[in-house]
Amino acid sequence: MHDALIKPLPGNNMAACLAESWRESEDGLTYEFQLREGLTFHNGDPFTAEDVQFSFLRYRGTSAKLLHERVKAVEVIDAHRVRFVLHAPWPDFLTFYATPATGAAWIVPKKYQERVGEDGFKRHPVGLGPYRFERFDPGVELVIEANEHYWWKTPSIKQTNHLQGSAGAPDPPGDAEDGGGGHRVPDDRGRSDCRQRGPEAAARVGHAAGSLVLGVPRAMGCQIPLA
Amino acid sequence: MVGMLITGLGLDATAQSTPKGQLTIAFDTSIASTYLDPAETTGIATPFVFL
Repeated sequence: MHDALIKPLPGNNMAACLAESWRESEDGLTYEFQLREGLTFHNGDPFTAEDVQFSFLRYRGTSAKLLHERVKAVEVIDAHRVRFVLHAPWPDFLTFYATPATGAAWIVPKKYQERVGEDGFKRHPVGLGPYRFERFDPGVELVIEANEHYWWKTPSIKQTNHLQGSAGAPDPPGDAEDGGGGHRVPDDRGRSDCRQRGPEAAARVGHAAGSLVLGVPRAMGCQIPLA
Repeated sequence: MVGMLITGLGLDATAQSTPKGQLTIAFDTSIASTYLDPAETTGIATPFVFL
């Protein structure tokens, strides 16, 4: 749902995303990011340097203390340029700021967040990523839909449902040829059948009629209806 | 040869402009609302599935 100034993309562990370029000063004290222009959040708000500044100051994740201690200021130069000023040279700044090690460079919309508040943002998050929030039923499912205006490329899948394994009932007896021990996840739309499985079981399932079975990390097997 | 290339690119662009279908993924973990907020990342990989 969200996107970052810099993040790993295929073939590049630190690829330009919302920042189309950046440069470090010779003394190692400042990092200036040139932002991609013409981007809008899922709610239509324009993406600007103020969102970058706001997202950094709001960040309270795993490395917040370290980042906030070492970054002296985040300066908005203009609508599409932002400068991070450090107290002292920190060669690992981008490793901490701009990778999934912290997630600090992931951007949220300042105006929307201030308008709806923390609870409102959690109920309906808005971002700049390839998928936009549709609905979240805690304990049951998260549904996201393709953002056809995503800057990098249009997503291939229109809707993605993340079903929580706890929503499923145990497999019926005698249905353990795929490795067993899985949980059937109900699909009230009848468009897919998806079970929680061990990775070995998911690999053995292979292709099923009309569906593509993916092996994904964290003991999951799922099917994409092709029709 | 050039014509084929242009046609191919055109088809690709058309395909990209129209997302289709539905992907359903079952997770063997509870999805926390904090996973949907970049400010709350805890240093584990799971939230980045949803972010």
